[in-house]
Amino acid sequence: MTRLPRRIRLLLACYPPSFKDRYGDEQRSLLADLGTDGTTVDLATGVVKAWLRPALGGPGPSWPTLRMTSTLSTVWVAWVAAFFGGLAWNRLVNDPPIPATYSDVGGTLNRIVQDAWSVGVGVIALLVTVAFVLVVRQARSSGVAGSLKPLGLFFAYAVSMAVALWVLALIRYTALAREVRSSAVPLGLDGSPLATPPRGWMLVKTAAPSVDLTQRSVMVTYERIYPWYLVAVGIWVLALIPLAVIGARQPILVLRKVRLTAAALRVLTWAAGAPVVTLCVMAISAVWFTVYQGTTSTLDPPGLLLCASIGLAISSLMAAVSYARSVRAMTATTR
Amino acid sequence: MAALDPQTLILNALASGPKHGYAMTQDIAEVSGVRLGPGTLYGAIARLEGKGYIRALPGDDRRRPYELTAAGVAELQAELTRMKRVASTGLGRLAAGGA
Repeated sequence: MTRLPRRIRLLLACYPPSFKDRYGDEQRSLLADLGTDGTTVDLATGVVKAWLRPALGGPGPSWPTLRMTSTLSTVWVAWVAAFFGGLAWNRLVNDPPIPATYSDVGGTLNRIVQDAWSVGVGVIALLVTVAFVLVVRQARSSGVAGSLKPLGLFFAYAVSMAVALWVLALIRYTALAREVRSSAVPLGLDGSPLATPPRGWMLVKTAAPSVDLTQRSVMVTYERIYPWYLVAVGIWVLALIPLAVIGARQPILVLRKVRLTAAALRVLTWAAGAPVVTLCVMAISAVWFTVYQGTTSTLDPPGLLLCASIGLAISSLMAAVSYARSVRAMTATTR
Repeated sequence: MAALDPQTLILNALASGPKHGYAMTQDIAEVSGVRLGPGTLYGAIARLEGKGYIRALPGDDRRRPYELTAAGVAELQAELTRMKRVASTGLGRLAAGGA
């Protein structure tokens, strides 16, 4: 068969797994026959529609099952996108530091985002734990424990990234402590956040040494930080990209292979409402903040803040729409 | 469904017998002048299969033919009748109005 261009192969790979199983070969064959000119937008639109409104006939899982599986996948991908987008958000909002005249706006909205994030992180951690237990039990009882392998890759990579982070943080601590003994503490956890309940931004900060590093530039100039350390941080941040891809993809692959019982799927889908609400609160705050910043200052000349907010808004909207459709499917089948 | 809705066009293409994806796009382009891309075509096929209006026939995975079901025939008939009524009414009004 004719080899398709990379962008087309990438788009075909973005279709939901169940759609790819059913129509993937036919689509590739049609593209080979018709050619790929002018099909990029058509395929991209098809991908979005297939995720938001999955519709499959023929043999395979029932419609509500597909609907709920799709929602869990969509919410998970949106969450992963928000997690890594959150790192960018934190950097864009706080670096360079917002002038004092805008600190209240940033402070209030940041608190909303951070609190929503804190609650969401807790809920999603609980959900992931419950889902993990359910999936492992289901895989063992149906004799397909081998299907859990993709999760191994996810956890192995995540752990290696965390270890690398700790090494970087330790080096940074050593470097900073030498310069600013009073304020430099491991992982950027200074006195004030430790005195309050754990907040989401602590997670963000600990996950992103570069953010914390540049925030401290008020007290510690770049020249005092070893250049090779900045390079190491840069490499670490770049390595987060594959982690985001693997993190978004692998659990979905497992969910596809290990089919949960209808009851388990239903419980998880209902519970997915919590992260969806969290995402929406964060998106609304981010967009509002961006609009306010955009109209009152020139702090966002490259438009990066706007892009981050729009990205968060789109992914949150997709998750919310998908969730609403699943709720409708679930209530329709129980009536 | 609208007249140039991909689902209607696909049902219309299958009215003359089973076809696979490529044959459907050729037929649709010939009849209506609309060229359906692979994303739109298979999105609509998935939806029609879900509604039970078409079904896949045994064949090569790469070129699987589809045919209308009884429900699909009824739906197409109803849709075409509706379109015919709208078209003849509109054309009659245009002729009477001299537009």
